[in-house]
Amino acid sequence: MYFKMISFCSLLVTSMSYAQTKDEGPTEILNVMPSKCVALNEGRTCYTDVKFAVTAPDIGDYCLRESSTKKILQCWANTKSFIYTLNFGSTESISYELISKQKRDTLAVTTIEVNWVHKIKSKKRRWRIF
Amino acid sequence: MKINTALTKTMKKITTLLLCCFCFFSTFSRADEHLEKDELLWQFSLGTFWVDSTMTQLVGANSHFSAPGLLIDAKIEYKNFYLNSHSGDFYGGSDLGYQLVIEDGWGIDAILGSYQQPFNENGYYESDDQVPELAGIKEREHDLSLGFAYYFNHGEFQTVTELVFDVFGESDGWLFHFDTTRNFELRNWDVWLNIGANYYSSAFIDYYYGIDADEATAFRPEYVVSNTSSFYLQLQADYPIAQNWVFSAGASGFIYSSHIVESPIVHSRHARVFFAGVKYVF
Repeated sequence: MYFKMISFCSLLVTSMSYAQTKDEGPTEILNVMPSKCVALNEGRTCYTDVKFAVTAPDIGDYCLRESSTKKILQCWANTKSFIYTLNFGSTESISYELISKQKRDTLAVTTIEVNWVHKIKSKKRRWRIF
Repeated sequence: MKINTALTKTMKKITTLLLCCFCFFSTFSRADEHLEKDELLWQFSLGTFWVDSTMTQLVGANSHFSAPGLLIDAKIEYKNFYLNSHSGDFYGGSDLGYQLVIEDGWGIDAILGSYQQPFNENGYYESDDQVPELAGIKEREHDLSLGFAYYFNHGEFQTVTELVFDVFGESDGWLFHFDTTRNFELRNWDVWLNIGANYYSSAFIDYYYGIDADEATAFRPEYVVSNTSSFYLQLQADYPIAQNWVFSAGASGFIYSSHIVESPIVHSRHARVFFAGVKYVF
């Protein structure tokens, strides 16, 4: 019984490690971790602290912004690498882009996916236990 | 007593008949509304949980259980029907329901489920060791109760009242259930606080904790349990630890009204559960 339980736990841990490593999809210029935010149910705001790591090819002025709204998160001057931490909170996936101020160009785009665990949200919750 | 039994049996027949009629007519009158909801929805979960529970103690029997266990949950919905099945965590059991009325903020379901833990002369749990103090009692089986549930939302609270009759069980009794739940969303955590009460008819609770004449001994006199209440408080927290993975932990306390310990086979009227674990949601 205990052997079965240990085997099952090992399987759980292995699967969870795999689930977490899938979140770490590196890109060349713009790395984001985690790239996935998991909420319990569809429609819930998903919260996570997202770390953007930028390694640009040249020294310059760069900004991070939301792709859809073009809202600037932050800009950095005269640098080629920096890290930015975002307190992410959204009900849906959001894309972010790295732009070069000099070239007025989008250098990289990344998306933070919002997923949810439960496909069916319980309409009722039964609490009978004894 | 005979009048009570006759009344209970009549109520059971009326309940069954009403439910059948209500389901039949409700299905036809609402068929158009639910044509677009014909898809079968399902969700299964598999996990492992540590459960530490102490049941209301039967005399001489072990009422404490603490061990890891497997959890298998299933939720199936089709049209107005739903089946929720839980095992392993602390609100175990299965419920079959049919949503008779679905309105904004309230609804009425026909429900079928069990409300009471079975036990026998070995105690609550599967064991080959007979408990001397319980030797000779008949098996107390699961109730299989059918009835109505009325759900409504008020502010941040979800409240349900249920009136069910043990139509397919052995007790010939009924019970009234009430509970209200408040869900707190704390970032990605879901925290559920639930307060509830049950009122058991004498026939229902007596089937479990009463002593019939053929069970009575010199140390275990015949006993009839009168109408009984119970109250409980529960707290559960869920957290999505990764895609498809959920951590849950919870605690629950439960108490019967004081006269339950006058039963010759009941030692304590309290129960409590703690649990924690993870599950994979398919």
